[in-house]
Amino acid sequence: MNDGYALKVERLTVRYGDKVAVKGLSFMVNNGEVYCLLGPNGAGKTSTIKAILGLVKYEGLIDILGLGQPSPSVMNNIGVVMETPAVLEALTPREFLEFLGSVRGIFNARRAETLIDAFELKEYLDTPIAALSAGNRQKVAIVAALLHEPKLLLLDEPFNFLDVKSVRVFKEIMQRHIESGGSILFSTHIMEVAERVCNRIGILNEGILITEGTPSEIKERAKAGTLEDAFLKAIHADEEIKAILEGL
Amino acid sequence: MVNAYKLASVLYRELSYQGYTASRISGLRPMNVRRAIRAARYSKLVISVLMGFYIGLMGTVPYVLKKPSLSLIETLVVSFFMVFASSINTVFSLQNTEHIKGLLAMLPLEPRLVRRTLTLSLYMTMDLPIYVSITVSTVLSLAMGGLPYPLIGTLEGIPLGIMASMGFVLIAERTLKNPVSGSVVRALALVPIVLASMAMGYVLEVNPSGLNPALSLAPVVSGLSITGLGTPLYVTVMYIALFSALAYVMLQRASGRLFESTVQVQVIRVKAPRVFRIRNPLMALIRVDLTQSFRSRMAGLWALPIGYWLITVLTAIISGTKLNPMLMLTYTMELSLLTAFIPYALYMSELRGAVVFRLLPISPIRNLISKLTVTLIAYYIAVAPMIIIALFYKLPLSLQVPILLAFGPPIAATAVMAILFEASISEGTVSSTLVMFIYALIIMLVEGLPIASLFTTQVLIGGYVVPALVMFMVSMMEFAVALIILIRLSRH
Repeated sequence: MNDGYALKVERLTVRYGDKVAVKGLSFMVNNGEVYCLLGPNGAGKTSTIKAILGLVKYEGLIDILGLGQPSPSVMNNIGVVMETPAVLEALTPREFLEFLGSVRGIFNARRAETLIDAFELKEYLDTPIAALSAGNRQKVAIVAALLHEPKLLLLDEPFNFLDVKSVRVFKEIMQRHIESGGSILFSTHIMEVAERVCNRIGILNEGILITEGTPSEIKERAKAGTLEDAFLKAIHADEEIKAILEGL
Repeated sequence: MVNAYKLASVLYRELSYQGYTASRISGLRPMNVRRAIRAARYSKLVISVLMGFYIGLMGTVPYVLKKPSLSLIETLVVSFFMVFASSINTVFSLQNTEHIKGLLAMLPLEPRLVRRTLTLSLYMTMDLPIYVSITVSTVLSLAMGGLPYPLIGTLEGIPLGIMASMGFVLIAERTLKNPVSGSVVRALALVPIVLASMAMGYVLEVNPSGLNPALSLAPVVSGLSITGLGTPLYVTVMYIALFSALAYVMLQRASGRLFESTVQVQVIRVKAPRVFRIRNPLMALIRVDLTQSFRSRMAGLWALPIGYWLITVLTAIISGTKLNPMLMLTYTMELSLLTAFIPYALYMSELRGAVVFRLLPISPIRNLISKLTVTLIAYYIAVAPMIIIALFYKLPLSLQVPILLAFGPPIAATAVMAILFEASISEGTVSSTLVMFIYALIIMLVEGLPIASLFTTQVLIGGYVVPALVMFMVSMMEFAVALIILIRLSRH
């Protein structure tokens, strides 16, 4: 395990046919920090996370926890919540969690029960995941990501579909994860959440990292009062929005 | 005024894309979306060409054998088989497309227009293969000097194929919520394909002139008695009209259910134990493979070896056909071929949530070991009655060698399937009818080579032991090559 960083990405490029989704992206997630990837739709946030997980072909260097590039052996140290819940829909939550615990060789029944209670999934444990609501599917995906107490969490819009109570619980869990020395790469486009949760932020636009720093550094650099204003300035959308609003 | 046809054309493009990529099922998006959209469009064209080719081929064989009327049954079976297989796959790929209902609900459309649009768009996923089949069989009929048999066979087979697949959708939608009836229905889904493909061989044994005249009133068979204008022709035309009308009604009902249903077809309530059970990683993988495949549309593939065994061996015993060693050897090889479709079922059902498997410490090799274990068990369960029957009928003991070693070809096919799965999953486009057909063809080729080597050696030097060893060696060589490719692939 690397002492300095949990994740290092250097010169990452992701292509989908002719389209280049991520262009030579470099950043680092330090141990014990939440690093936020912010960006408009199509900026390359999800493609970056998929590349880190080895779900898409990429060029460049990715080092996860000092263990090297994404591979099956690295996966036991990562917890992932995808934009759309990555679950096996034909199984029940109980069967799914048992499967994950068995394949990973890591299962703490007490932790499983605590998480199931925290996300109010007990009554759905024996219902096929396919029959659950989008919110409950997302909760199953979150429990699955946290179950094996991973060092690094990769969260791509993790609050999608969640109710207010579950968002609050999850934010608290994220906080405790950081306090215990874990790290989080967090992708979102909700500025308030980013400002409150993240230690450092990288703003992506059209696959390029245009600025990076703590929330206050980014606000200061942009001479903006809020992170939202700073973000819009960084991606040069402030003037565009003005023009749009005038045209309405 | 909104035109249902124009609206359906737009919906069809979405359906064909969803059916081709199955990205909503796998959780993986195609690496090249533009290419996937293009491929989705061409996939229907290629299926049409395949269907036209098979109809042309199977319609010609009886004519060459001087039994032209039997081309009616052959073309009927081919068109039924192709329409059923292709539409059932498209339909199941669409089961997650609930957003289409949501989209239509937001538009100011009359419910009647919505129903027509949905029916039309579903029909569009299979229209070109139907037109090509009808054209080919018409040309074939004209080439036969005006004999209508291939055309009639195709005109009957197409609506029967649509009725079978849509009937399955309607039954499945109701029963799949119940674990017992759901499993039975899923297992039966592919029985029409098994029966249809087996029937093609037996049909050529029929003597059309020896048929009971009363059968000229029966569905399908009536066509065999057509010699010109007369009752059999009128009866046949009536049946075609009836089948077509029923197919339309069922298509309409199924499309409504398919898009309007809020309960997905694979939903099953399972009574689970109260405590979490953690297993050995390999056992857990095998268990999930089996659970997923039994709860998916691939469950029917499990019925193949068992269904084949029941139909062929029992037919042979009941009809008094002598169970000679060569017949047993042929049965064994056919069982070996069918067993190769078990790993195919396992890998295909793994598409559901393929992204989850990518996020777990499961290497392609470990995944392969799980599939190999299941394939081996399935082979020996399927072949065990063969061993007993061969002993019971006091067939040569040396015959047991090929029976025991014929697990080789399915093992090789499993490794090849692992390569196909790994390669295509990285592209994110896996579940289209065309891709599945191509996979099935490749598997049959991989299986066919060692089986052909067995029969060739048998003809050349006789006996059972040496041919069985040759077959086993060829299949192990295939397996070794596939394994090397898989290891190289997994390193990337």
